[in-house]
Amino acid sequence: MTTAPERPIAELPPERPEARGTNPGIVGWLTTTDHKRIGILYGVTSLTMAFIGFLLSMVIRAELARPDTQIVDYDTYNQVFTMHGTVMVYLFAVPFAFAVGNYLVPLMVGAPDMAFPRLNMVSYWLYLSGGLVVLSGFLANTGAADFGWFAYPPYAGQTGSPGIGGDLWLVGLLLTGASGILTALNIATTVVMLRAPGMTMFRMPILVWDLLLTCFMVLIAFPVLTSAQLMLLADRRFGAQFFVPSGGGLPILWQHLFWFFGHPEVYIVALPYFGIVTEIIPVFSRRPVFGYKGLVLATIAIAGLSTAVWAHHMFVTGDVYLPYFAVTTALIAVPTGIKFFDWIGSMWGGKLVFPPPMLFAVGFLVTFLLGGLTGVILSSPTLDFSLSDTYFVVAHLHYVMGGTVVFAVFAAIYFWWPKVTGRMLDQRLGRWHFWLLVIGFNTTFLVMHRSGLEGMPRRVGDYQASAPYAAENLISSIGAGLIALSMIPFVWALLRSWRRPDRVGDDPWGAYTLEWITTSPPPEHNFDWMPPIRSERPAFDWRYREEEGVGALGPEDPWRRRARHDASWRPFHAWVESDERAGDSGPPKAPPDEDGSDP
Amino acid sequence: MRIEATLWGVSACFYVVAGIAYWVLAGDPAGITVLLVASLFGGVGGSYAWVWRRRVGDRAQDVPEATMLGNAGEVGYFPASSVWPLPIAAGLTLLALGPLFGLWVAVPGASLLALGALRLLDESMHKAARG
Repeated sequence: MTTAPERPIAELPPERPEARGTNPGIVGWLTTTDHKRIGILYGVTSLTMAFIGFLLSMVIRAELARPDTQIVDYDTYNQVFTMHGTVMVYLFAVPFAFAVGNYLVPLMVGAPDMAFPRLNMVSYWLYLSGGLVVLSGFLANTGAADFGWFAYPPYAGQTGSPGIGGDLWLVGLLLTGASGILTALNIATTVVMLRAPGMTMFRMPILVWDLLLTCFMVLIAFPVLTSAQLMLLADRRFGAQFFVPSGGGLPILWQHLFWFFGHPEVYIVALPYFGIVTEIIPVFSRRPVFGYKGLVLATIAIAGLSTAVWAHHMFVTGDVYLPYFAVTTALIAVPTGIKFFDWIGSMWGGKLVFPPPMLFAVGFLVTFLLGGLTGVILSSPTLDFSLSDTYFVVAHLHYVMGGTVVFAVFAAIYFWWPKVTGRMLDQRLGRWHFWLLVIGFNTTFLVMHRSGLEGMPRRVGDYQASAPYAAENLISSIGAGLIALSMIPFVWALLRSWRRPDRVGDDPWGAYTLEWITTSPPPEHNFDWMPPIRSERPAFDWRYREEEGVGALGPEDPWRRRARHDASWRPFHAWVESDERAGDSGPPKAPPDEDGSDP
Repeated sequence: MRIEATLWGVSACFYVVAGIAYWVLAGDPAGITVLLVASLFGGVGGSYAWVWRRRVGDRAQDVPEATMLGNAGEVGYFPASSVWPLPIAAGLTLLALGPLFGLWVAVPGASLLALGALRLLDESMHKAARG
C-alpha cells in the first residue's frame, strides 16, 4: 500500500473546523457521519416506510369493508397483511425510535456526536438496503412473503412457501437486524461514555434512559432473531432440518426463539415512545417530571420482565408452562402502572397548556391505557384460549403497538420540529390533525374488539355477508379512511413550514433538556457553549438562574465565577483557534453576574 | 461507571434467577438457553464497567459538581464525513443475497465489503498519523 503519505507529520494539513460534513448537496447527505443528518435520514426513511405500510393497510381495509373478495385474491391478501406487519414493525416503529435516538441522544447528554459516527452510517445503509430487499419481494414472480410477520415454520419453510419472496424477507430482516444491533451498541456507548461533565446517570432525561434500556433489549433480543432467521434460511436454501418435523426438527423451537425476540420487540417499540411523552408532558404542565427515579426503575423492570414473558404468545400451542408466563405477564402491569401514575402525577396541579405535542402525548396515554387493559385480559391463559388469533388480539396489538407509536411519533415531530428545522409547525393544523386522528383511530380499532369477541379470525381476507361482524368491518374501514384524511392537515403543515416558514428561536416551548440550549438547528458539533448541569433540567436551571430557589444553580456555584474567563468554558470538544483568539465563545449575552437578562 | 456497572450486573442476576426459575418450573431447553445466555450479556458488560471503574475512578460525567473543564482535551475521534460506510453496507447486502442468487452476487459483494473496510481502516490510521 502506498496510500500513506511520506510527508513528515508537521507538514500534514492542520485540523480544519469544517472537517466534517463539508460536501455540499446530495453528496454531503450520502457521505455524512453527522448524527443529526443520520437521524434525519432515519426519520425520513422510516416515515416513508410507514406510508408504504399504511397503503398496504388501506388495501386490507378496502378488502374487508364488504363480504366476499373484491380487490385482491386470497394469495395477494396474505402477502399484503404480511408485508403490512413487517413494514410497520421492523421498518417503521424500530427505525423511527433510532431516528429519535440518533438525533437527540448526543444532544441530550451533551456529546459532540455518536460514539462511532461511521458505524452509525453503516447502520443506516444496512437498514435502507434491508428494507429495500424486504420490499423487493413484491417484484418476485411468486410474490412477497405471505406467512405473516412472525413466519411460523413449517408454513414459512421450504415446503410451505417455496417462493423467493420468503428468502428475500429473511435476508432483508437479517440486514435490518444487524443494523439495529449496531445502532443499539452505538447509542449505549454514547450514553455510557460521552455524557457531558455533571451529566450523571440520574440527571439524564428519561428519554435517554428509555433509549438506553431499549438498547439493552435490542442487544439481548435481536441476536436471537438473527440466529433463528439464519437457521430458517439454512432450512430453506441448504436443506437443514432445524424446523422440519420430518427431519427431526422442531417447529416449536422457532416460536420460542422468535418470541424471545418478539416480546422484547413490543417493548423496544414502546419504551422510546414512553420516553418521548415523558419529555413532553412535564414541559407543557410547567412542572418537573414526577417520580424521576420511579420512572427509571419502572423502565428497568419493564425491560427485564419483557424478556421473560415471551411464551404468552404461545399459550394455545399447549406446549408451554402457563403459570410462569401468566404471572410474569401480569407483573408487567405493575411497572407500567407506575409509569402511568408518574405521567398523571406530572400533570397533576400543573399549569397545563395544550399545543399539538401535548395533545398527541395525551392521545398516547389514552391509547396505551386501552391497549394495556386488553393486555391484562389476554395475559390470562383461560381468556387467551378463546381470544387468540381473533380480531380482539388485532385490536389489542394495534392499540399497544400501532396507536401508541403513531401518537408518540407525531408528538415527537411537533415537539422537536423547531429544534431540527428552526421553524414551527402550524398549531391550528396540528389540532385538526390530532382530532381527526383520534376519531379515525378509535373508529377503526375500537370495534375490532367486538368483532373479535364475535369470532372474526385474524388474517382472513373474506367473510360471509351473514357474519355477525359485517357491520363492524364496514365501520372499521370508514375509520381507516378518516385516518388517511387526518394526514392532510399534517402534510399541509409540513408544506407550510417549507414554503412559508414560521421561524422561531432556539427554545420556543420553554423546555427543560440540554438540546434546547443550543441553536436550532444545532451547529456542527452540537454545542457552542454549555451551561453547568446541576439537575435533570439544565435548560430550565439556566433560564431561571437569577431566581433564588427556582433553578438548581446556587450563587456560589464555581461555574459562575468561571463564566468570566471566556476560554475556560469553551466547549470541551470544539477548540478552534480563531474563535479562541476572537474570544467570542459563550452564551449570546454578557456573563450572568453583570446582567440578569435571559440569554 | 458505578451505576452503569450496577445496571448490567442487576440484569445478569435477573436472567440467572429467571433462567433457574424457568428451568425448575418449565424445563424447556430453548428458553433456559436464551435466558442464561442473556445473563452473559449483563455479566460481560457489567464486569467490564466494574474493572474500568476500579481503574479510572469517577469520570467528570459521574461527578455531580463537575464543570465543563472536566472533559477538556480530546474526547474522541469523530471523523470527517466518510464515503466508506456506503460500500461496506452495499457489500454486506450483496453478500447476504449470495445464498439466493449465487456467487456472481456474493463475490462482488465480498470485494466491496473488503475494499470499504480496508479504506475505512486506512482513514482512521491516516487520522492517527495526523493526530
